[in-house]
Amino acid sequence: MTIDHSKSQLILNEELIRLSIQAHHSEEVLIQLSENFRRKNYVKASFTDALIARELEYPTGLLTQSVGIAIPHTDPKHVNKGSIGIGVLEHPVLFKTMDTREEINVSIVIMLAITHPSDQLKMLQKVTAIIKDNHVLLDMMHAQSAEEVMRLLQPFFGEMIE
Amino acid sequence: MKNVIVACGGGIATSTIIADKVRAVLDEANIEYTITQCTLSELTYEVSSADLIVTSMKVETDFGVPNVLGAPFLTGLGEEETKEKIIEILSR
Repeated sequence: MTIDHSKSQLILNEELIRLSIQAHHSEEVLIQLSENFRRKNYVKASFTDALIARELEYPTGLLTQSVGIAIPHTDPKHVNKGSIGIGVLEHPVLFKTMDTREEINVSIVIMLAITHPSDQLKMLQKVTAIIKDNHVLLDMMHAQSAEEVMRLLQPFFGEMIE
Repeated sequence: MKNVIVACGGGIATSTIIADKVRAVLDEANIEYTITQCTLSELTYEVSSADLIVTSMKVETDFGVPNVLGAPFLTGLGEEETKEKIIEILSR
């Protein structure tokens, strides 16, 4: 039996990180950030629309102790390769929260392109660890380069970063 | 044996994270369980045999089964209270 390691990985690389995103609306953020995935062919053309539709129906905003964040994601059928993207917004935009649908200011968006959720649990666990870490969230908000964000996330993902 | 259902919008990412945390809580509390993951819209069909539903989103429908919000497992805010509530419900 062979184990397909690629299935359990979610790719995170500098090209999936975008800083100083200028947007007035959550939809603009989703469009801009998903472009990076499209360019790398990590997702299908249908990904962006599916993401927007999903966010409307089941919002993904989360209030943390420090920074409002969102974790937009959609069905694996729109994804080619498991990957994670990060967007830091120049100015916060409104997203609705996952649990109560109230509007909150979001400054960091962690976009998830998932293919095999149960295999990728390890990566998803790292994502929750990041969300719970106020220092890292605040440092990401003030990061000057994608490289700096990668450095901040290195301790979480270790060898899993491509 | 307690039946727990974890539901989120797509039944994929969020419920996988929440289910993982719920498993850890129940293992630690020595509660025997089965966990089913589904979408919020599938809840209606899954709920009849459940002792507890953990959902990503506030559910308006009353299924007659205790319901706990799972978002604290993602943010850490209110996580301890959520854990205690789950154990309390399943220890009844």
